[in-house]
Amino acid sequence: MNEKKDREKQTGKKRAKKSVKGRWIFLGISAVLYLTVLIINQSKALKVWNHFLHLTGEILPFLLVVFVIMILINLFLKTELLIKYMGEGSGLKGWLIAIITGILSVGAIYLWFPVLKNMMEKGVKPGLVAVFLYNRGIKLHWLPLMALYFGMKYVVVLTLVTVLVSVLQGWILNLLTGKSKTMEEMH
Amino acid sequence: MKWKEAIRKAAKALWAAIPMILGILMLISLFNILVPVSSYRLLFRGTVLDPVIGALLGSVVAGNPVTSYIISGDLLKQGISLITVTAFLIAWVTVGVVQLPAEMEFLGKKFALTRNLSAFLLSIIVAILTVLIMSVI
Repeated sequence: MNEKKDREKQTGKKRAKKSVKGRWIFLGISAVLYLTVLIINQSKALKVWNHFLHLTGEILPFLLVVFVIMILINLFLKTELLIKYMGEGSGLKGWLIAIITGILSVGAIYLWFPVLKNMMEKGVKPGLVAVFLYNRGIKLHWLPLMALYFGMKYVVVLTLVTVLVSVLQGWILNLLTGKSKTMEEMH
Repeated sequence: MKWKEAIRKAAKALWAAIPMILGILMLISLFNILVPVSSYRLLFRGTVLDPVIGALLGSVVAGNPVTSYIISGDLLKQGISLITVTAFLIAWVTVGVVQLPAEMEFLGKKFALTRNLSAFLLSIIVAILTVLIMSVI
């Protein structure tokens, strides 16, 4: 039993090391693409760089929010509590929590990946993570502007359909990936 | 868990995410600058495949949702169907090809691929349902 645990720990460590390397390789590939544009067309490259700086500046405050959320999760969200409300057998409560938090969440989607990883490791069902991500598509603060472009009736119908379909996606994810009990199996 | 330990753990996780976030931001910047918005409308041919093309386009491009409203408003004015525009709008916010490597890295390949593929298909279903309901109420 202990041998199996040790083996799993070693595999986990190896994967984490490989994963960190993979992240830097991804950044490296993006940098190479940018350098290619810089060599071919300097004025376009300057526009790309300015756009990159603008986007980076935009997400900085959200990174701070994510940092605080992660600290609070580490401090107060105990595994047992998460499993109770968003784990196996959480029922309707879990779906509602995922929908509401998804709609209310702010910032770029990729900022949430470390938080969601943490929650999945603590036992949150993959389907509920998918529901959360799908409902992020509803941007409450932008709905008035959307209504200006497409009309109130369209916005209301689209929002309701999105919420309903998010549950379908959660169900699909639970069906297809729900058997993967650990994050290792997800990879 | 103590505060110090909680902060250390959060900082470590966030630091690990930084290269992925910067890589995604660079890819989004490259795409947004190198592929002009005016070229989007050339993709649509007025066939039944338009919603699929709309969903594909929405999956590939990334950025603020407001940008998608402006593009969609423009596409509607050009005579592109509401189903196609809706599929584009929904895929824009639910599918992420650019951030797929990051999603696979953090949440697992199986999860990320299943989620994005199903979100792509569902964006077309959302579009059909929305327009159907709109036509009867």
